[in-house]
Amino acid sequence: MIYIHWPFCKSKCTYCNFNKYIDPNPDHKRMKNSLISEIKHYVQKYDMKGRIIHSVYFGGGTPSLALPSTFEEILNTIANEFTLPSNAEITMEGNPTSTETRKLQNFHSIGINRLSLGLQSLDDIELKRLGRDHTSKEAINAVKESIEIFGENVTFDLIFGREGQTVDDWRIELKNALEIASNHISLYELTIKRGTPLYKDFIKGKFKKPSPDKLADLYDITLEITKKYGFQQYEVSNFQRNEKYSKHNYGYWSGLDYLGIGPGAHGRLTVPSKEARFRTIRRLYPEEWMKQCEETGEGIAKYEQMSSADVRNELVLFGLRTRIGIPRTRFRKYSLDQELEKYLNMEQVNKFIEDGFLVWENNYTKYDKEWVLNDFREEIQNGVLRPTEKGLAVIDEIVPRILY
Amino acid sequence: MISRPILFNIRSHINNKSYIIHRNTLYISKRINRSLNINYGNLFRNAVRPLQKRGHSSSSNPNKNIDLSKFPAENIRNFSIIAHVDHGKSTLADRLLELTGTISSNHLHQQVLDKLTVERERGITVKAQTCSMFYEYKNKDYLLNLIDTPGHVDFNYEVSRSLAACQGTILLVDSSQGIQAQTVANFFLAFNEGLAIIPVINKIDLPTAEPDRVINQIESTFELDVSLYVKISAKSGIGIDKILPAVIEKIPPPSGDINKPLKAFLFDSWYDTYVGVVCLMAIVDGKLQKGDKIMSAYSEKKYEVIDIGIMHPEQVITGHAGQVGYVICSMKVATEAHIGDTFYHIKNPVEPLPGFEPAKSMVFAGVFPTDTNEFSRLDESITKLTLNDASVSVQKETSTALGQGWRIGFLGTLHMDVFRQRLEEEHDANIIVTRPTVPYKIIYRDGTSKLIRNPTEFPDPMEMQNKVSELQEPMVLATIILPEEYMGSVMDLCGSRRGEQLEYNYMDESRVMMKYSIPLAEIVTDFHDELKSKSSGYASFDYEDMGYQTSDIVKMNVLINKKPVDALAAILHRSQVAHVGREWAKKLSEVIPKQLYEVIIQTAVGGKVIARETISAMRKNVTAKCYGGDVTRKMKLLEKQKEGKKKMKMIGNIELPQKAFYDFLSTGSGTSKKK
Repeated sequence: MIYIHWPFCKSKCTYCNFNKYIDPNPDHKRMKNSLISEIKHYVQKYDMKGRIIHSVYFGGGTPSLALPSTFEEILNTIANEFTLPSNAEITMEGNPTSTETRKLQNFHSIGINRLSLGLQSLDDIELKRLGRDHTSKEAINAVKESIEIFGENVTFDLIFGREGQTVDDWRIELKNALEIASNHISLYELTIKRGTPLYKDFIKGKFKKPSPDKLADLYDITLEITKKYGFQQYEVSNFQRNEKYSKHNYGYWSGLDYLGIGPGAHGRLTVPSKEARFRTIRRLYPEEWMKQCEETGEGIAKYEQMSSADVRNELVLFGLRTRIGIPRTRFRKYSLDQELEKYLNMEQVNKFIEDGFLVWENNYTKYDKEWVLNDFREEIQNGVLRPTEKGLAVIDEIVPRILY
Repeated sequence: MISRPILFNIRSHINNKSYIIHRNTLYISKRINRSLNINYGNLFRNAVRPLQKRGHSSSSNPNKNIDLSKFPAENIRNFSIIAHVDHGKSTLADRLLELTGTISSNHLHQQVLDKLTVERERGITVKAQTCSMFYEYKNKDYLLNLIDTPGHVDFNYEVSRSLAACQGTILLVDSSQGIQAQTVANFFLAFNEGLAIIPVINKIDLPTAEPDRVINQIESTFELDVSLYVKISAKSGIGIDKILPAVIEKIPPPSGDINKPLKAFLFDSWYDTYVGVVCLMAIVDGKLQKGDKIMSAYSEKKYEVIDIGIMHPEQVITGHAGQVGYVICSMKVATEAHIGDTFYHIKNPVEPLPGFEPAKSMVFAGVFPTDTNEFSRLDESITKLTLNDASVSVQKETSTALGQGWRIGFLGTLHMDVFRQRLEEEHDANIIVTRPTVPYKIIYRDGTSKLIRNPTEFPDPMEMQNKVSELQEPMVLATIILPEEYMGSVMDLCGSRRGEQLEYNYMDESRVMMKYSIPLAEIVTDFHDELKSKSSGYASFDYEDMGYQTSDIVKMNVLINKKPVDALAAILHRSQVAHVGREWAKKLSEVIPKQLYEVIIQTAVGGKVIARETISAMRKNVTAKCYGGDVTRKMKLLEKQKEGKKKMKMIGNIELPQKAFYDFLSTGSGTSKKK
């Protein structure tokens, strides 16, 4: 898997704490060359020539503001350096503004086959409050046009838990969204993150968060309505129909390696020669990152070995955020043959199982559409520890208690 | 005992080339003066060097090489100053010390008698500071010993012992505030000791001063001869010169006989890191000198006198009848120095002086570290603090809810607050202090009795039914002085605290003095704060011990999901249970965080539930976004959460963070927090 970060945006969203910069005229050429040089550098450094890449993800920032030719060259580089099968998932994030929508056909033609649109809301007043530069009409139009181009492989994001939002408001908005949705949708509770304008407003008391009870109501209704539309919640905030889950994102949660390319990008990588996993983090600022790429071939800021506890905790933490949970096989594979049961505090696990927060599925073979995904049927053969719907809603309370 | 000197103080005094008459500082500053490269290991040896060999001090004090034999009892006056908080006792003491040249007047140290930050902050002298002055009057040299008294009700017994070492006292009253409750309490203590009393009206230069009205108050309240009062302003120095002549003329000299066997009266003590326990004693009869072997009449322990002197910049070896000074003998811990104890030469026992009582804790509280790993460190800190505070009693205690801790007995709530503050500030302690409990008395059918200091010691229903004949609680006699317009609301307050009015008097046209009998338990929490708020700060309050009285007291349990939490149990009067039970359940429901499970909080007496609150189970706690870039932050958070969980106290399924206990106990239901 490869993640490519395009750090530029046209405008600033109040809730966003990603590594992004408002720059209407970035240096496309330098960016392109730097991204390509990082990819090549990786291949050389870790001897990855010809390795199969299942997924490429262009994230941001606003990658739909990049030139299609830039991404075309990047994809060509990936195809040349690695092996990029024809069924690889190649996703791009995009803004649903009309100008960008016009470019979608171009992006599709250079090989991007999945589109993730940042709708965030279907309410114009709310869009303005969130700092978005599109209208709900543009958004609906963008979804429709995208589906025409990308077919089933279109997803979009909505945010709930906004100030003053009622259960009924959200019910209507979500239904409208699901009416036009393809087979995937991401539904996030609004998170107030440090360093964002929203955070400052929150501290000043200008923005009021809905009460915990209200947020729980909104979450409950989200599950209820998505179910009615035939969607499965396969991760806390991600819903799919017709097995159209995000392979790329699932890769993060299921322990796959991913290369992080571009300013501030994170990566996770197994180095077979060292029998260890490493985390990589790139330089944050585009200018510094590009400069370093130009001078040394890559813009690395941090490269550190993960401890075995880190690797294992990460598998538990991410695994339990998905409905499939942690397959025993997967845990063993990435943790030097450690058994899941031996790693967890089983006294706590059993208590949570008894109280209906967790389920231990042994030798699982049948398909349950509430939580299984076809692609993982083999991985779950030897059993999984998974959260129930009730458990998933409070999983942040559970994880720290089942780890020693 | 509550507060002792601090070295940085001393250094600044050295730089100023002036002295502060401050108990240990006295010793240390002298030694530092002698040799700035002080070797503390040698301190002790230096301390016992004869006076003559003691080099040249840079002291500004003219009274060098004093020959104390020139001061027979008739040239000595032992006196104290009694006053209400803020009436100017410390300032007056400073002026007297300046006037006699004991300290220089351009000193930077304000108020010599108040030492510790906590004392300054609260404007009270927690513990006595005593000093000696030389004064020439009508061509005769006098040795005047100013014996300071603690300024708070918690230290009533100690006040009475300090007064017992005097023959007279200055009754200092603020000319605009008039007589306050503390003035009354201390006056009667002095009066009962038979002391000569000199009324002094302070702050007469204030625009609000009404000296004549105050004189009338003194006359009507104390039936005191006021023909010889002194009007002063300690701050600006007005009238200060009239005080010492009055002291010499009105206060009789000590009546001791130097030829009788030694009888020494211990009225104060403190712990010094370098020299150990320092006692302040009044030599009633006989003569005491270095090397003497003495014995405590109370403990019958033997000591050897290592150093002796008066509290004066120029240390003077002393020990004649009538004199007052410090004695360093081989006492290891402050608890051996019993205030009010009598000492005599080993082979010459004498009749001990009357009025001695061993230190008696009146308020007990459980103290627990917020972080259980801190137990041993805090144990050392507490030991250190108790080294120089003999009035604190400490016992180890284990609570199922809060782990290992201590049950600490204090003289009163102020004493408790001071101790807590010192533990927090000087020892960096993070502690949870449980609701204070007074000592209740259980009278058994077989005639025996037992004091209980902890709700866990309360008899269970079986024991109550079969063995106990009655329960008693400690009572106090409260004196409240206030402007008459607040009488109604203050009477309501006292009534709601089960107070019984014993008397009330008009002290003048507008001020009233009321006396109440009130259970001690009612005043150890927030009574004082309430009184202040009900009277816009005008009421003053003091109390004294009144013994025990039969009372209908019960133990209230706090149950969380049906399991009792020992650290939150309380002993209450039956009439308070409904109110306190409801309030506690409510407050707990506010400080206990939501859990994965429903939390039911109940307060109950025996099997009967008083109040119930429910915290519904947490419905949602899950991070919305978690992708590749979020992992580092998420993993850090996870480590923190894991640590946090380990510090939780489990009550069945329910996790109680120490913080919940802390928040609950420090927001009013627990200890009184004076700010």
